[in-house]
Amino acid sequence: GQGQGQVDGLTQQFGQMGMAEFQTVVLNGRPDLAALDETPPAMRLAPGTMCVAASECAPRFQRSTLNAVPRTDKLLKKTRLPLGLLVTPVCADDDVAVAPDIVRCRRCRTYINPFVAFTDGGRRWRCNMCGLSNDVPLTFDYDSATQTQKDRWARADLRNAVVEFVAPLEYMVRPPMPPAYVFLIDVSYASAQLGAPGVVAQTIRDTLDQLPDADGRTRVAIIGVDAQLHFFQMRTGAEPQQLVVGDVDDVVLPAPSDLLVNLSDARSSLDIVLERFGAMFSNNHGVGNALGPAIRAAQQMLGGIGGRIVAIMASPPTTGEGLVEPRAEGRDLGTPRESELLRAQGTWYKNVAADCSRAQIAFDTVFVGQQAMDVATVGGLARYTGGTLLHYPAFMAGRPEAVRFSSEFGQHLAGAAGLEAVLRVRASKGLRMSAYYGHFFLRSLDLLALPSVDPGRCYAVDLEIDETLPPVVYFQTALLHTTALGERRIRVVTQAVPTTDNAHSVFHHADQSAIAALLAKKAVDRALSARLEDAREALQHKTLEILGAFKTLCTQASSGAATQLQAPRALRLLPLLTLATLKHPALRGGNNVRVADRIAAMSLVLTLPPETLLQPLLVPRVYALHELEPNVGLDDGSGSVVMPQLLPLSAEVLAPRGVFLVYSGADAILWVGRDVDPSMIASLVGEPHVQSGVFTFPDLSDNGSPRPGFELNMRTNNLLRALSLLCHGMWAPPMFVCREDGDQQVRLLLAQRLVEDMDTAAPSYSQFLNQMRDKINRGSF
Amino acid sequence: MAGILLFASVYFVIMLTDLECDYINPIDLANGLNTYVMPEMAAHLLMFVVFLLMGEWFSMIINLPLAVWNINKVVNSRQFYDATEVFRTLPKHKRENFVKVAFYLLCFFYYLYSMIMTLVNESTDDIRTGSAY
Repeated sequence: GQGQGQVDGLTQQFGQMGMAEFQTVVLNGRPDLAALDETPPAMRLAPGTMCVAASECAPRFQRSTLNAVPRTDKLLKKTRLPLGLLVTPVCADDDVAVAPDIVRCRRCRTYINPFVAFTDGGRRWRCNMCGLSNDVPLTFDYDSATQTQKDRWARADLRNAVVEFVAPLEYMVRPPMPPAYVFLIDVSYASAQLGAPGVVAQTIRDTLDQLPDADGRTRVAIIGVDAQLHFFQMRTGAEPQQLVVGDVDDVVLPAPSDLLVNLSDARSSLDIVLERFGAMFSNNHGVGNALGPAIRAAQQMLGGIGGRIVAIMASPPTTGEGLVEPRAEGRDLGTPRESELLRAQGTWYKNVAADCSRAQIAFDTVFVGQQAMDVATVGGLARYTGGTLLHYPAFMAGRPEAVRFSSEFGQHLAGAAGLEAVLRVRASKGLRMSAYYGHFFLRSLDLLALPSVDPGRCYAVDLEIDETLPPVVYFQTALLHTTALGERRIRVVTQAVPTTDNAHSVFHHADQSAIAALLAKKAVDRALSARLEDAREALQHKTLEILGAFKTLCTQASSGAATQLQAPRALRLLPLLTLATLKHPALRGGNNVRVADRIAAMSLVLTLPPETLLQPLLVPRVYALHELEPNVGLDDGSGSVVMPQLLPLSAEVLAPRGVFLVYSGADAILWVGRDVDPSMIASLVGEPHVQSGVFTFPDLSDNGSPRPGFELNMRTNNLLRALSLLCHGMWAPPMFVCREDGDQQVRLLLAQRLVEDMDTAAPSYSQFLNQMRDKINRGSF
Repeated sequence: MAGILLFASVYFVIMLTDLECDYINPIDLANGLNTYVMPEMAAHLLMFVVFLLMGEWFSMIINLPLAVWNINKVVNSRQFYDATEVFRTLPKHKRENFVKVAFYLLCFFYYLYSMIMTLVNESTDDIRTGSAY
């Protein structure tokens, strides 16, 4: 039928392509940064593979580290490349086709997908995972409701690699749950000093309209936490009342109802409570944080339904059950004892997380302020329930950091999350899933329990080859979840990857972004379960092994020394990405990364997909703002902004007469040279001189059109907006001005971002390449 | 006592294989097994102390490695099963429990043998000294 014709057309096109992709490059000098924006290497499916034109799986949903998988485990081990899958099942603003009904293989329970073969005159279909022949239901070809013939190839699940099914009753143990939010807000003295209660309450109030509330069943509760628990009873038609519970040893809810209230019904009461919240606690002198009892109370409130507990903390939990003594870290940073500090103290929080994941309760943990709160222990709540960990050490009401908190926290709450979800990855016969990385609870050997699925969060899987693989292998990820609109849906992402016997093919079709992201996640996981030093060592060793294996298997100088380090074109950025990972606060050596910052950075590395993780978080973008091309920063006609050229990440490019922007997603640094023309600065920010430090970049345009004299400002603002969109608007990065002759601290911050340069923790890029080349030549790896 | 320990370790092995086959979830496994970890260690320690006090040096020496291993685990707080990490260390736990099953089985038969030998020796002593009459 129609499908077969399309297959023939594709195989013809593939056959005509040349061998241009089998290039080897020599690694020296500067890395080719533009490669980070490239699409992954093309997959050459074997001729005769069933596929449909639109069935290429978009890389942002699912990526394999190798786009040509070795057929045997022996070959995989010889190439030393990691085989894995990076799955981002829910992306922000994704538009996924919905299929009418569910058809699955009888034996392996795979969902029907574009890669199945129809046999027996179209009456049976052969599963592409296990090979079993299944019957095609009559509804494929004939619509009994309207008594007409249907074109089976118009079905969404046979046309698209990413498809969503509406789940019938068999997929639910109970009716789809409505969203419920319980906010545990720290109102102790430490928090009041920072002004946190007021800012948090205001942010929640502003975001109430954007909380998912499609069928009016969303419920919200607010609990203020210091040494006591402050509940708010919000009865419709009455003034909200504050009920204080002082006995935190055996928490009992002070009122039987109206603590967890319906958002639409009690909206006015909620508004009143949130408006007065800041003022109520701004002078609070209560010391102590009864987080454990608050969690127990929230669990009681959410009962058997489940929901989301958002804990905003500014002090460590020192009262009631679940109390943790924060560990002193001063002298242990940079020593092997630091790895102990990264591990959770005690098992209370892990046990609570395990129990809550069963009750479909997810935790978001937000840490504000500088006080030691034992993020390693409390953060486990988010890690094992699929939630998010946010960290704002520089938070203070009235400062730009509070604005940043408001915007990012609001964005996070409003992101339509999936609820009570489970994720399962299936692969062709011969492949086995061996380990998973991310924030989830592992309910069984291959089932990830996710009480909450945040959009744009990635789950990585390690794969192992058990038997010889067929010519094409398939990966299918199925996410059963309840959407924010209260519908039970199954999102299925299917991907076909060819296999090969040829080591050259494997190397030249490797996806360096996926490999680097997987290796970074494995390193962080290793650091959290073993030691930081081991993790760094293993990461470096792995990159060395990969390049060494390439040299041995694929280059002329297979034995003996080579003067230059060679890499396949597809992996030419791997050394830079490894170096960037080693220098990132998550894994960085040295003694100037605090434990809380490190845990937050690790959480980001574990959960971000390759597109957001690698650039700009690990490998920031550097642009020269003083010499933008005339069309840069302006619309290129198709709605997107023309981007300037990417510069190398080294202090060498920072010319004294120039102004540079170093953007890493989580923050942005504006470097101002010593001899810059004051009029250029004026055209950029409105004043001829700027000081080092935190800076809010002004918007001096006139509703989007440039004011004369401030053109550079408008174009830079366009650039910043486009860069923020690249990260899906996840961050509202604070901007720092770094003068060449200015503040030392900001200069240090900038130096950490310039990955190609040497610093105290790790060598420069060229030194790193030389070290690797020498080690490979010596054969000592 | 040895019989009880044998049953306990077989129970552990069965629970771990159930987890692998997806009959139970890790939280239930952790809750179930963690209630028996400390009693098992206490029972083994009691047996060890009894052998020490009774002067059964050989029995005491063969139980010494296991006693030391248990004490080491308690000192490092590693004796309980952690629901969030259990899959990572599943093969290791299974191997450990299989070894314990084998060890307890051998010990059980050794104690049975030595008990029978003691009874036989006692009755032959009685016959020789004529105290049976």
